Amino acid sequence: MSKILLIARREFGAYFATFSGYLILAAYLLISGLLFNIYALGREAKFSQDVLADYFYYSSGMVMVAAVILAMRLIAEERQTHTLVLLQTAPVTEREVVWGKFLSALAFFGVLLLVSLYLPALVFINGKISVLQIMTGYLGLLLLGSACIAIALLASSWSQSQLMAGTIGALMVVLLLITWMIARITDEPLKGLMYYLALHNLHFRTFSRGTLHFRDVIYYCGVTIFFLECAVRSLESRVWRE
Amino acid sequence: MIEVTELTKYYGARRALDRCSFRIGQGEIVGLVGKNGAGKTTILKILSGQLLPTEGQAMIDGQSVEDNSIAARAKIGYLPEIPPLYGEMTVSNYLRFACRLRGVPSEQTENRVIKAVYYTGLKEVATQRLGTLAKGYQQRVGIAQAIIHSPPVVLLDEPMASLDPIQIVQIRDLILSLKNQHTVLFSSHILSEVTQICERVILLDEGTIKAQGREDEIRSELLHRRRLSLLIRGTSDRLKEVLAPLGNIEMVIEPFDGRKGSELISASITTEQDIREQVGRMCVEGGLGLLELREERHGLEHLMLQLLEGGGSEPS
Repeated sequence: MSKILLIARREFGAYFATFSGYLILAAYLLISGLLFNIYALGREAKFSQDVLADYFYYSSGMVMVAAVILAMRLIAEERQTHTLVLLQTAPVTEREVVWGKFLSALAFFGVLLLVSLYLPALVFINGKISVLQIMTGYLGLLLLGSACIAIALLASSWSQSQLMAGTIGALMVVLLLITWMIARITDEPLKGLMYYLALHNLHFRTFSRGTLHFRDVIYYCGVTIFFLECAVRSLESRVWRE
Repeated sequence: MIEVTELTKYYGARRALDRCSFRIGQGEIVGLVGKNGAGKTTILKILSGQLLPTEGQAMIDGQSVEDNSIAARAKIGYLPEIPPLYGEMTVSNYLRFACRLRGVPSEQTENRVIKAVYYTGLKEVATQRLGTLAKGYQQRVGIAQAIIHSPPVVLLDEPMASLDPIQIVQIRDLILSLKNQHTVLFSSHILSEVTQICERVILLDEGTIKAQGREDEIRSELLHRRRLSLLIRGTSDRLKEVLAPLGNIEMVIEPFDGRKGSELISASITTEQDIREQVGRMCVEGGLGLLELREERHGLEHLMLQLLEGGGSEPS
């Protein structure tokens, strides 16, 4: 565990040691703010809980993009700068490397969500909303982001460059997003499976409405662990692949 | 401390290492020398756990790098050709990280960092970011991270590549100071560079170990060895019979062009004396058809000369 935290701490520091971390934070806040004003608040009158539901819906898109951008560099950048060898030749397992890097991205992502909390809080000025709905919505965003970070981390473990990792990661996320569409033209039992696998449609909407289903939490945790384990295997395979 | 047995490595169809074996004892400094693509980096990558051998075994202090990779990695410090430095970190923070990564308890970390900084002459740049350091300092940081946890074995891949002459002297002194405390295996494509530091040299060429030992031993062995190449019409048994009076000579006989049933055979004889006249006379008197007899300059001699002159071109 100490090695995981050690790697996570270094990686987390790296986000803030360069402009990239601040840039991602600023861009996320700017675009979230714009989306909140344009779509969530809108021009017509709305119930406060609908404003919040819309906010979480639009934020989920932002979250997926941010998660891919945060995670695409995690391993690919180390390959590009030849620093991965430090981890590969230290008495550290591939699982510790992957989880350490994942936790750093998740922690930064947590900061991202934390600083955006002022947006739903604005609804308190003119409306009445439940804190529980905000908390549930943010839990959904965190879980969705965690799954996307794991997916992009796997892509990063395959790639030599960050751009390539970002592209592959984004493609994988999109593919998992649209499985519910594929489900429409598929027969059972594949249909049910496709619906279930969709990254957003079935599982996220409940969070944005303030409803917490255990099965959705399990789904996002499952996706996260599955892709992280794939990344572990991908890193392990490097020694026999070459 | 390091034991390599029949190590073979293929990259796809290309053979990078071919049955390499050597042993390095505790406290020794040994140099791996060879031209570009000779297999030096491949050996170091296998020893450091970055690659699996196709065949053979490599052990670090009794731990197999294949079966007990983590335990073997705990016993090494490794400096690759390009030092693995995080540009945004300061020297001391980076060393602190490297130290903890190698499992040094946190209460000992500060002490180790101070020692490593002092030992490698990094005091004046300790608070500087790694990305802003000159090449020589970056190399020193690379060595510092490789020794900070006091590993029994230190592996250095081309530690003096692309350094200026003053930096080379500094890094050479630094490596020399590791003697007795660590077992050091380092690679270079310049023989003279290695012989100034190492007691022992392992000479690699195209993935095979051509010679190993002290430089003077290798040199005298190579310079005194001659190789005669023969093309004979006759049988290998007859040739052995005819040349039997020469006594115990090193001879390899094979069918010409590798074709079985060929009436021509080629033979290669390695000796320390000039026996061309004797061999020629014996073959003719023995009724063998002597089609060709020539002395070949030993391939290794060329290699040694190239390496001595630093003609190994770019590092591998």
